[in-house]
Amino acid sequence: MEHHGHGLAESRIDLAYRLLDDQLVDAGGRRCGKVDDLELTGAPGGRLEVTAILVGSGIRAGRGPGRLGRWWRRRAGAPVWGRTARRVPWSAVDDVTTRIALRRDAADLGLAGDDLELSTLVGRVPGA
Amino acid sequence: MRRPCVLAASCVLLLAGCGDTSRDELERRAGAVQALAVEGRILADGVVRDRTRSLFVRVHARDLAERAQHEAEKVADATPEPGLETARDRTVAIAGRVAGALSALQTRPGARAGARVVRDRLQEAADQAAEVIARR
Amino acid sequence: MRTLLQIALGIIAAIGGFLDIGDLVFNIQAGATFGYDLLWAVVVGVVGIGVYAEMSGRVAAVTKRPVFDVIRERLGYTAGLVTLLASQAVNLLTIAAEIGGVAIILQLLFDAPFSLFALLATVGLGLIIWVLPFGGLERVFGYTGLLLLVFLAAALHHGPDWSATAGGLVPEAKGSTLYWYFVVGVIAAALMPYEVYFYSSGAVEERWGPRDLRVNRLNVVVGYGIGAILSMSLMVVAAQLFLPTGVDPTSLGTVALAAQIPFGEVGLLVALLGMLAAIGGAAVDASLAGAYNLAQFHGWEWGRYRRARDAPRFTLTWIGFLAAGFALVCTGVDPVDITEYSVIFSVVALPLTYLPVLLIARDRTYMGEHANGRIATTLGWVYLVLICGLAVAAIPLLLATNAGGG
Repeated sequence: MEHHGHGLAESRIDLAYRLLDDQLVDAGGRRCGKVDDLELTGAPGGRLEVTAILVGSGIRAGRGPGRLGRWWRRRAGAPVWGRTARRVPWSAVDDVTTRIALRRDAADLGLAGDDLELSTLVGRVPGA
Repeated sequence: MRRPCVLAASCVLLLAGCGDTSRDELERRAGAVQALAVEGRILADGVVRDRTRSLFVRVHARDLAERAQHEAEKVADATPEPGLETARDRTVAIAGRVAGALSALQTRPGARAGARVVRDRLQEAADQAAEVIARR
Repeated sequence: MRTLLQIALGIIAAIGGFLDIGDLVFNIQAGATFGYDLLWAVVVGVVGIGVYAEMSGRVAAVTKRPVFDVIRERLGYTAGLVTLLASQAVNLLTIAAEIGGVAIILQLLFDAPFSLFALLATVGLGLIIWVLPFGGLERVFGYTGLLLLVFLAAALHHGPDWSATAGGLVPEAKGSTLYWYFVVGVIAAALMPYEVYFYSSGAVEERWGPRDLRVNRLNVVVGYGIGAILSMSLMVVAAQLFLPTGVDPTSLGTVALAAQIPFGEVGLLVALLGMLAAIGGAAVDASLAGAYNLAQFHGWEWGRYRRARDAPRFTLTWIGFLAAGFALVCTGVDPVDITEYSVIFSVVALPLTYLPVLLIARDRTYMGEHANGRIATTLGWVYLVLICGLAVAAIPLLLATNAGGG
């Protein structure tokens, strides 16, 4: 990521701001979720880097503000990795424009959700 | 913030509907009956002049008849403020006649002679309803 | 290269697709109650929907982002979720009202039980969405909706009072709450939010790019402009025929009667078919809008340009919306009442829908040279303030006037 060069502190923050809630698109051009949160890695005083995109209902639950947010987090419980939360490593990101293009298929990254099952269900109807 | 307001307003409306029927309220009901009679007259006039479709007339006359019947029942159930009993009874009777005439139109929506009778009856009912409203 | 003919066809579809049951009900009732006085409210409403439809179409063409993409991106998850819930509730009410409207029109044409026709309408509309491609949907309903021009013919036939028309175009404040209820209703009926969701998603469906921005502008100016004339015709016809006689148009049958009086059986049939197309088309648009919103908010695959099985959650959502609308209509509430509630409540969902569109449309980092000019931004803010005012006034007015019942 060229954005991470020195002297670009502001654009790094801006990048995180711009990334949040953006559309993810897999290698096949299919939409496969939104950026629900970002994993930032770095030591105090050191560089802060986006190391992964986090996706899933367990992640979103952490974002509600105030009392409602706390209630929601209690109800949702901790995110279950692989079920209600997925981690897409930054290395899987191909390009960032108005959407985030991924290098791999949604299914490989665990982002296909219920689409596979539902697709078979819908596919049974003629003309689907 | 909004919910208590909505609740309060709903309560006010509910309570308002529970008291005795005022002059204004009765006039509003008579006005509704008049509007139904006028619309029914226009509908019947279309039949008389062969400018409409029987199925449309049947369905729309049924709808208007039900509304007129509904008005008749609502006014009949209301307790009017003292001095308004006659006006109430007249309104109930007119609404009943409007519903009856419209039902006749609904039954035979293609009969031009019958529609002429219905048209005249509804005109008469509309005039009578106007009198109830005018008499203060 | 798009031919001129295709552009023209798109505009015609926009005209026919402009009116729905809310416009029919509110404009006719406003005309029957206040004559020509509320013509200005139509103009205010149509300019508003035009400003925001143009903006959302432009954003979609340039950034490939339809409205709910933008909402989530700009408002974040929580405020976005609130907007989603509000707009989906309004969409559902709208779908129920439109399905009920289609059923009533079918009843007026063929006379059979309402619930049977409501079921037929739901299944029929579902099949039409399933079978027709996106462009086909827009055009079938749009072209047939043009039959509503019969109301313009009716207004001209009776000779409009031109000085009253001119007077009605000047905004006027009156004391009565019923007047203000209709002001809000007429403006809100033009601004129904599903139109913007559908329009912007449609721009992505039809793969608009920056070169389509002229079509976008033409659609809005010509399509909605003529749509406004249709809305005003309804009001004028009601002012000519119903206000003097005291008829209270509380049902769609009365609306059709307005075309029968001047033109007889032909006028009646043309009006009924035009209303059937306009209301049916709106049911389709609103169902798809519900599915677009949910899919765009969650980032699911969506679009009629995908095969149904390639966007399964989107497909199941629009089917679900149609089914839920049908269930709501079957509760026996009068569709005209549902219409009034959906229109009035829609105002409450509007500010949160329009704010993010405005923010993105004026943002050069997203829009580059296609960002808002000064006029679009000014109009955008003016309407945002206006809509916030309407949103505050809408529900008290609904309660105070007993939903226009007086």
